[in-house]
Amino acid sequence: MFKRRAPRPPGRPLAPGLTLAMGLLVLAAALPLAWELPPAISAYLALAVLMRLAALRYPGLPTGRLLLLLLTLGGVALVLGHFRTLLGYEAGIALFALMLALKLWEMTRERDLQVAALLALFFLVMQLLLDQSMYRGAWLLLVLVGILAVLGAQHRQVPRGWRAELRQALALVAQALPLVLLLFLLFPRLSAPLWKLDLGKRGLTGLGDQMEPGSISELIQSEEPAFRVEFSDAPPPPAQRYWRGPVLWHYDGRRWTAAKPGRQEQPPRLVSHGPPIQYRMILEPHGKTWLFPLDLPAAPAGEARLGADFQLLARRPLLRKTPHQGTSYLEYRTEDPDPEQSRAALQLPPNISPRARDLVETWRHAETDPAALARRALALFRDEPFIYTLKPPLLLDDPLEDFLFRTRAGFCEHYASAFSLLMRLAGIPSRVVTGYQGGEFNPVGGYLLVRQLDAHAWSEIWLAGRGWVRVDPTAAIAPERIERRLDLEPGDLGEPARFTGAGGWLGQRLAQRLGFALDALNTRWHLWVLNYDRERQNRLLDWIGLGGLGRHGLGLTLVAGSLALLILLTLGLRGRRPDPREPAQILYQRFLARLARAGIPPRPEEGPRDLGERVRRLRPDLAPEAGAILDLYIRHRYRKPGQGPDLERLARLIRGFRPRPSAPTSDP
Amino acid sequence: MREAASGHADPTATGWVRLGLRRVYVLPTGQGLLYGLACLLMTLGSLNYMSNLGLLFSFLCLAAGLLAIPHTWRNLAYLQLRVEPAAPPFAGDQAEFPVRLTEDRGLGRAGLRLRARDGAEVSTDLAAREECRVLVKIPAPRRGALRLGRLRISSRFPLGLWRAWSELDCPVQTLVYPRPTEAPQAPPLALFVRAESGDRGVGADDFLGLRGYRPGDPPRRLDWKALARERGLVTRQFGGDRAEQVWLTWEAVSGDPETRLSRLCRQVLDATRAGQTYGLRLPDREIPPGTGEAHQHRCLAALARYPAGHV
Repeated sequence: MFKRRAPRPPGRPLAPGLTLAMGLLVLAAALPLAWELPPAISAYLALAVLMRLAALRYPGLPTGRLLLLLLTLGGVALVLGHFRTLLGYEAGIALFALMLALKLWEMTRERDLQVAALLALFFLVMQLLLDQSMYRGAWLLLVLVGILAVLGAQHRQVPRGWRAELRQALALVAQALPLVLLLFLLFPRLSAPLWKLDLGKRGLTGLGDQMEPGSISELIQSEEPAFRVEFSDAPPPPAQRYWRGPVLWHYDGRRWTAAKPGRQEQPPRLVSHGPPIQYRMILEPHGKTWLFPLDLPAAPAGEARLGADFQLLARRPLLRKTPHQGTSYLEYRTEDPDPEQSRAALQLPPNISPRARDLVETWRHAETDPAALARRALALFRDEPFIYTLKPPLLLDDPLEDFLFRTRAGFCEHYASAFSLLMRLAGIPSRVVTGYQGGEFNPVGGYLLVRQLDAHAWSEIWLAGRGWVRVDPTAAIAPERIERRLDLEPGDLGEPARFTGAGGWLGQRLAQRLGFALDALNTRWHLWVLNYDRERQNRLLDWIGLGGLGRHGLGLTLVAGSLALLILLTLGLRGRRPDPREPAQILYQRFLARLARAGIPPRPEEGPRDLGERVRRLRPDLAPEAGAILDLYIRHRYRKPGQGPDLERLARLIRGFRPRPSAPTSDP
Repeated sequence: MREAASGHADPTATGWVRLGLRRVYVLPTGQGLLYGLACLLMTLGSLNYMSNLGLLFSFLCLAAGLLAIPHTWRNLAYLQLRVEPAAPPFAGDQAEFPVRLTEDRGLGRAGLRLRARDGAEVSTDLAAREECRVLVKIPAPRRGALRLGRLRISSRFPLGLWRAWSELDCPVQTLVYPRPTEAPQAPPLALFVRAESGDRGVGADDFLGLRGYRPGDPPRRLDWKALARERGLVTRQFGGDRAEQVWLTWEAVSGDPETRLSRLCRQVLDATRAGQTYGLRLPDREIPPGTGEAHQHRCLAALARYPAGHV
C-alpha cells in the first residue's frame, strides 16, 4: 500500500526577508514581557534576536552552532540566576521566550519557519493565560496577524510587498471571526481545573491582615487600582464610602492583628437597617480572600461568606480579576457582641502607656456617657496641634505615648490605633477596621475607581443602644481626606498631607479624561468578554433555546456550525465563471439597464448610434452624458487592435451614470 | 471530458486539463497536525486557567487553521494545465516538459508546485486570468520514448497546514537520444559523389561565393565581417561538385549495440557541427544524406528508436 517514495528533499531555503520579518515579530511578541521580566533577561533576548538579524545584513558575523550553544547556556543560566528555578510560570515563560529567540538562529529552511511561527503563536497564548488586559490583547493580535502574513509570504513563489501580505492575513482573520465567535460562545467550559499547576502570585499588592505604624502609609504610594464599583442607583456621598477590609482586634503594644475572638461560625445579624444599596464590583487580584464591601454588607449571595465582624470573604484567594455583586446598608444597627467579643474588644497590652491611662481617667471623671467620651478623644486630635502627614517621625518604645504626647504627627493608622486604644482604656469596646475610603468617579464608565492610595484605617466602637458605630478620627483631623483624593507629592518629614483639588490646566484635564475613557473601556472589556464563564454560557444557551444540550450536544452543534462556515467560505471563494461576453459588452449591458430605469427601454434591433438619437429625443437632459458613453463605446468596440480608448474610462463613465428615473414615454 | 477508469482524466482535444471539484484532494500536512496539537494545548491551557482572552486567541488560531482548507483548495481548483512535448534530451540528462498553466475564474494562485515522478519540483505563482509556463524536468536515463507519466500538482498555500494536490497521468512523451560518447571518433570514410554538372574541379574547401542567409546555415559559415559592415547576414559557400559526403554506418563503429549507438550519435553531432552532408545507415533503416537541424533530428531519432536487443 505504501509505495516507497523518493526521499523528501530538505525543503527550500528561506528568503532573508522572511527571517527578518520573523525576527521582528518575535521581538514584538516578547515586548509586553519587558515590563514583567527582569531587565537582564529582556536585554539578553533582544540581543540574541538582534544579533541574528544583524547577521542577515552583514554575513560575516558568526552564526555557527557553537555560538548558538553558548547563547543557550547563557540564557538558561540567566533564568536560573533570577528565578532560582526553571519551573513556574515566570521562569517558564522566560525560557520559552529564549527558545523562540534562539530558534531564529536555527532557521534555515521553510520547515523551520513553520515551526518558529507555531512556537510564536503558542507563546502569545502563554502570555495571555494570566494577564488579559485589553492592551496586551490588542498588541498580540497585531503580532498574530503578522505571523499569519509571514506564513502566507513563505508559500508564495514571487514575493509581494508586506502590505499585500498583511492585507491577506487580515482578510483571513476577518473570515475566521464568525467561527471564533461560535467557538467562544458554545465551547463547553470546565467546571474544575484539569490540573493545578499554580501560576504563582506575581507581586500582588494590597492590604495585609496586620497593621502597625507605617503600613498604610507605605501602601498608599501605589496608584494601582484596587477595585472598581458600579452602583445600581446613585453612588453614596464621599463621606459614606467606606470599604471594609480586615478587622483587627488584638493589640500587642505595637501591632494590630486580626486574631478573632471565638469561632466565627454564626453570620452576624443586623437589628435594623436602612434601605439597601446594590452595586457590582470588580476586584483586582491581591492574593487574599477579602472582598471590600461597602460598610456594612448584607448577607451575600453566591460563594462569599460573611464573618462575624462583617468582613466579607471569598472562598478562594483572589488571583485574578474577580467580579462580585453586593448589597450594603449605609444605616444600620448591629446586634450586641457576645461576652467573648466584648472581652477581646477591650484587650489591652500589659505595657499600656500610663500617661494615656491618666488622660482617659480625667475624661471619665468628667463624662459618663460613652459617646461623650468618644467626642472628647476626637476633640483632643482636633484642638491639640496634631498633624496628618504621610511621613511622621518614627515612634519609639511606646507608640501610643510617643504619638499622643511627643510626635503628635501621623497618618490614618496612627489615629485609628490611638483612638481605639483610648476607647479601650475608657472601657468602651472598640476595634480597628482597615480597608479603603473614597474612590474616584469615572464619568465615562459610570463607576467608582478605588486605588491602593485610597487605603485607610478607622475605628469602630460599641455603644449601647446603637451597636457597633464607625468613628473615623481622620475626619476630625483632616476632613478633606474624606472628600478628596490624596496628593502623592512626597512631603518632608512631618509636613502635612496634601489633597488634590479639582481642575488643573487643560492638558491635565484632557489627559485625565482620556485616562477615564481607557479605564472604562478596559473595564467593559473585562466585564463582558473576560467574565463569560460557565454560568453566563448556560444563561446564553438557555436564552437561545439550546439549554437542554449536554456536552455532546454542544460539541455536535459546534462541529456542525464549523462545517457550515467552512462550506460557506468554500462557496464564496470559488470565483466567477468566465463570462463569455467581452468586457465592453458587459459594461454596455449595464448602461442599457440604467437607461431602462430612466425610462428608455432598449430595443433589440437598435444600434448604439440610433440609441443615442433616441436618448436625445426623449431625455435631452441625459443626452450629453449618454452621448459621451455611447461614443466611447463605439470607438472601443470597433477599434483597430492595439488602438482605441481603454476600458477603464468607459467603466468609470458608466459607473457614474445614474439617471433620475422617469416614467417611460411613448415615442412619437 | 471522459475519465479513465483509474480516475485520471484524459486531456481534452486541445490538451488542456481542468482541475475540477472532484480532482483536487486536501489533506493535512505534518506541520498541520502539529499545529492542531498546539491549538489543542492552547485551548486546554486557556480553559484550565480560565483565561477567556487566551481562549479567544486559541480559537482564532484554530479557526484560521481550519479556514485555510478552503483557501488551499481553491488555490488549485479550476486550474487548467497543458503539457507540451519536451525538447529531446540525451540519455543521462533531464527532459524538460513545458507545462502551461492558466485559469479563468479570476482567482490568483500562489505556490503551485509541480513535480513528475522523481524529477525536481518546480514552483510558480499564477495571477488571475493569466497564463504562465513552467518547465517540469524528469531524468532521462535511457534512450527511447519517455513518457512524462504521473504529474503531481500541489500547493500548501497559504499557511502550510494543508496540502491540496491533484495527479494527472500525462501521455505526452519525448524521445531520448542515446548519450554521445566523449572521445571524438575517427572521421568516417568520405565518399565522393559525382556532382550533376560534372566535376568543375572545385574541392570541398574552396570558396564559391556568398549567398543570402538561409535559416539553418551553420554559424561558422556566416560572413561576420559583412554583417559588421551592415551588409546583413550572408553565408559563405564552400565546395561544389566534390561536396564532402559521408556515410555513418553501423558496421564502421565497434562495440556492443549501445556503444555503437553512442558513437554514431557523436559522429552525427560532429558532422552537423562541421557542416558536412551525411547519411546514416543502420541495420534496420537507412537515412539518405542531408544537412541541417531536421536531418540531424531524423538521424538521432533513428538512433534513439533502434530496438534494443537487436544485434
